[in-house]
Amino acid sequence: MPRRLGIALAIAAVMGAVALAGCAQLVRVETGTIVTCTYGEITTDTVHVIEVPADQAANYTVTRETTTCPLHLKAEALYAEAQAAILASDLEAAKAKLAEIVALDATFRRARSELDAINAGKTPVPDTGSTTPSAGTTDTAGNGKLPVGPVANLAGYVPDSVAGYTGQPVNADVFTLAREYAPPANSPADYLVIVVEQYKDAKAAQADVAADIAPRYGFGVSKVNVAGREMRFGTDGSRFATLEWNDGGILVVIEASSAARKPADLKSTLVTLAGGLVK
Amino acid sequence: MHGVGWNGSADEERSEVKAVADRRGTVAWAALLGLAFATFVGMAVQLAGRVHAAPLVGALALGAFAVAVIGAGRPLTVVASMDHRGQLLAAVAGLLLVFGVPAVVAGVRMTEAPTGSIVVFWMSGAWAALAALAGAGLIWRRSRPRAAVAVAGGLSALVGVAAVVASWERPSSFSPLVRFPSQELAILAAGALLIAGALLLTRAARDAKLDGALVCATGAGAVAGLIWWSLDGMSTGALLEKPVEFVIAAVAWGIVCIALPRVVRSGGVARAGALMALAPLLLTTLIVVEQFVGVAGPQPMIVTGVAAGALVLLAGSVALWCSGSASPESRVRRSVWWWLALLPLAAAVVGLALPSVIATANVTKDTGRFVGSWTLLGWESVAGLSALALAALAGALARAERPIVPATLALAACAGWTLLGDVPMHVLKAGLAPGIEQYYGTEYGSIAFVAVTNPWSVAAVALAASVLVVVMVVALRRTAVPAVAAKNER
Repeated sequence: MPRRLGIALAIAAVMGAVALAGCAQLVRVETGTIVTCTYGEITTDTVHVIEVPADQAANYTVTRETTTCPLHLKAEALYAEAQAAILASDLEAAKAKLAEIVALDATFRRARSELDAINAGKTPVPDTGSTTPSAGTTDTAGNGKLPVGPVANLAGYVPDSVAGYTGQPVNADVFTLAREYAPPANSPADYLVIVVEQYKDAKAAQADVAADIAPRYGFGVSKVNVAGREMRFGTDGSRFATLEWNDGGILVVIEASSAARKPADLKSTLVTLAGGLVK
Repeated sequence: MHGVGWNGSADEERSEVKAVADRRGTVAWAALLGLAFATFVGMAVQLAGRVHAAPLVGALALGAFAVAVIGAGRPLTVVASMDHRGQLLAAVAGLLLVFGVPAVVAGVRMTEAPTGSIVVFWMSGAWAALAALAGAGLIWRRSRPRAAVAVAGGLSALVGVAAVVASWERPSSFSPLVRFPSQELAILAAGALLIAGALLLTRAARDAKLDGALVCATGAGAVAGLIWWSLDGMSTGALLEKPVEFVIAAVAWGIVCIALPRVVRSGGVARAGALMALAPLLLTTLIVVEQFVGVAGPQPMIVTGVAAGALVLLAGSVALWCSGSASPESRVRRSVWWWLALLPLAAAVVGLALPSVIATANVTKDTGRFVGSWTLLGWESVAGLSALALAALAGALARAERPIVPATLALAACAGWTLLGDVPMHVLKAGLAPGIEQYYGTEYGSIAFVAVTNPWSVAAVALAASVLVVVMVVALRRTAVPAVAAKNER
């Protein structure tokens, strides 16, 4: 009897294993499209998660498109008219156009500063550059071009120099900026990079931190507060240390390599660098 | 009078001295086997993927023959001392062991697939598990408790090896039976050839010395190797290009071929498995040395995973070694306690079917960004399988005669078990397009694993640890009682 019971249990175990192997082949994938305005805002986000068989998972992706939204198309037209009005010394007309632009997007190009200049009784220098951000502008101190497109508004996180570290050319992706920095002679870090990525929202950025950064840099984890922002410090336990924070969907990661292979010692250095970026 | 009994007769003294010498010889051969096997595995990973199989196998078989001849001293005399049946059996064993094993492994590696960590897993962990099964089968009728320890030890060794090689890098390429199942099963079959060849060799030698059988076996293997090499064109290019590596591989294989039958003969095939399982630990030591001296640059080894896996591996290996012990038959009977000791095993089996790890892949492709996640169940995670192995080990050691050392290691492995929480048994997923997986670990893609609390596996390990503590306390009291009795007698 016990032998039969054993055989029955073994058969059940094998059948269970086969059933489990069959059940475990589903993959949860994100699919949909994210449409981003050339000025940075996400205008459409149809991304959702579905469960599909593993062999079909590769067919599902999140595609990204960049286009100028109607609001910014209108702002561009108004801006061009405002610049023409400034050139024609018609400051009242320019003021009206600029006020309309600022009401649409307070950070649009130089609309705010030009409006402030007119309100202060000055004549602003007209912006003769391209009316679209896609043309880009030349970096004044860096070695290459400043990023253009949606990531242009992230450029403030990767300055030409910070706390003695000198910026190298910027690498720009659709939603990511990365810049390596040459450390000063007495730096405890022999390598430094700042990566900034635009996410749909703060929750998405936080999810990526939990899935990607936290597991890799899970040693010596601590929280620090720099200029009112809560930041997370962590190391890989052997060489690299990171300090990252979430600026409402913009994830900023400062990563450094310890020259002495003591990444925990880089905490104060990274906090100083972060202070230079969020001041 | 070292090692002499109370009556101290000359015969007993001589037999005691011989026993000590035998024990030393066994330990020396075991150490040689462990080191040489690890070297052979390392060479199978490094060399076999780069050069043609035929010259490599020819060189290995010739190396084995040379080592056997040198070891025999007077090869013709020792061969002549065997009967024809023994010579024939030894030659067949040689074809399986000396020629067959490297031929299969090198033939599979010629395809550059599967990857190194998987080859090490099959050659070390799976071959050790096969040896454990063979050992258990051979001692089943004589001692079921020892057979159970062998099986549980083999399982622990197998899972421990998986834990170690899966933690060599992250993301790891370790994904057995996902991409190249037929090649991997061929390596497993080579393990069966190895064990069958070793057992056949010991049978061919019978009561005689092994030297003659080894010369016959390696001679047959060398002839087979040379024939294959000749049929392949007898190219020596690879040999001349990497002479040092060839010599190291050939000598290592030669030592494996002469040490393996000796270990099998003196301690059983399970003990040979215990030594084969240690290969990843020795290779890990090499990697660590490389990290320090900087020969191959920094290695992205996950130290916690390797350390926790090493404990599981060592517990299994030591249990396997102990199952080959010639100690008296266990007097422990089946009881309520023994059935209670199987509770962790039941919990671990349930844990195999529950979620244990969440994998999340993020890959940027030309057509967009792939973001996928999936759940690995207990049987797909090192933690789930380790819980099973440790529970089985605890249950088996509950009836073992001398469980203290393996139980201590198993207890340490239970303590380190949580460190294996996020180690997957396979990084690559069956069915998922290689076009996505090829980017893991590059600037275009990543894959991350996060442990999920699997309450049944946790309970299994906690219960197994409790059982092991009881096993150790009982065993310590059992050993203390005779000592107290002896003191009282005096």
